[in-house]
Amino acid sequence: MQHANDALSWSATSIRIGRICFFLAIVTSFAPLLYFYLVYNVYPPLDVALTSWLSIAMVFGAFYFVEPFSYYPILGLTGSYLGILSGNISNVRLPASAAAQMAVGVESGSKQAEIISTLGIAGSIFTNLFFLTLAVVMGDWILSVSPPALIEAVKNYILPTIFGCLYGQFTVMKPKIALYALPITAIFYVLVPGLPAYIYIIVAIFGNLLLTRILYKKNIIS
Amino acid sequence: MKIDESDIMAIVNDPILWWIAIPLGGIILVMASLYIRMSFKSAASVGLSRTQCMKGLRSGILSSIGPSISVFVVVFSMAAIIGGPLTWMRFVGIGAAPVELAAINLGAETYGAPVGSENYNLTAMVSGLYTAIINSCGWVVVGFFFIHRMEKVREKMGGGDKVWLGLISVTAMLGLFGFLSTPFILAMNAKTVACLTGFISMGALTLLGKKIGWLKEYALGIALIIGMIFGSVFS
Repeated sequence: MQHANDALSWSATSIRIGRICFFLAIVTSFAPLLYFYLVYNVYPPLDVALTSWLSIAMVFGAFYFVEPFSYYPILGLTGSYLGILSGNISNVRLPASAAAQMAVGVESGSKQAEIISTLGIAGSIFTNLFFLTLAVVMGDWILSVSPPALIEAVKNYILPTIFGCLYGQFTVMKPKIALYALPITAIFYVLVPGLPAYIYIIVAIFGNLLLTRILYKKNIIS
Repeated sequence: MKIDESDIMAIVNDPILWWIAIPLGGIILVMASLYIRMSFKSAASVGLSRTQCMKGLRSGILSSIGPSISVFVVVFSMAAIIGGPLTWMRFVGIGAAPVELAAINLGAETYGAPVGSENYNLTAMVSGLYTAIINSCGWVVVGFFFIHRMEKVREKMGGGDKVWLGLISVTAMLGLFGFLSTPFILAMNAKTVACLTGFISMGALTLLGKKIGWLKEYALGIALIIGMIFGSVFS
């Protein structure tokens, strides 16, 4: 009974904190626009505002829905609130969550994993904020003293490496799933090129989940 | 002191803008802190020790150093367009760097004064900023209305089967990172080398970490450095 109560209050508290912060974030996001209007009497003309809104929604609108729904099975409840508000889910939040889970050695999908993943993601937010502030305040100086080769290496290779790393870490956990997870996406990518990215995300996550479900039912994956 | 309106850089680097930028960062920090407190409080009830929690938190902090540094170059180029404080505000939350830059360009273009063009002015800058803001709010609005409802979907998908619940997370993770690796794997260049080296070294370090406990916390950092070195050498 104690556990059931804890689980209930975990979700309830998490949702309350998450929704209040989301609401406040939306409101504060618009502050600069209000400032430019009040101080300089400058604002986007109505036709520009509407056209921009429409064009940006046409490019990213599907992602507003696809990403939260697709990342939920990985991030969980608190992770989703943290991840969406802080951004950079695939290159920062998920690696942080995975690193924390590996360091402590918790089982994927368990209650322990949810808590450790929350701590890992929250920790990464502090790091991000620190380096972002450093970059804004001292960015030009840092760039001028860093060797160009180092800057090039970080700029070009950190993304492919981090994606490969995460695939490697989870391959060790479930090698059988790793045998088909990437190939399915890659084959689909080659056979049906040029689709919007969100279609490939849906195939990569839900297509693989469907296949794992079938193989799990047939006792091929356990 | 009156600021000349044609001097956009003076306007967007006005220190007052820091006071407008900081609250959004503050909200995100408060949220992270509240969730950390909540995690520590609930830990004991699921059999996690304080030490384990600290370890999780520390891994999150350490593992994100590399990826955090990678935004330096983009931060610098965006600060040249919308100034320091607003760049900080756009990057502290929500989207990712390429999305923000695309939105800022699109807004200015719609106004008829693309970034870098002769007629680029304060209104063009504000139009770009507006576009970036409404775009990032898209994710937050959807999250506000749907995240708390997804728990029920997950319970249904999981159906109380612990093994299957674990498989859902691992499969989704492999699916997503498979998708993200695919373009690099197919590119057949130095990025392919970086991706494969990351895959192999992280796999090896994870296996080693099962025997050598302390390695687990540094595995990602070490693998990232190996991948970047191999990528650079093959370029």
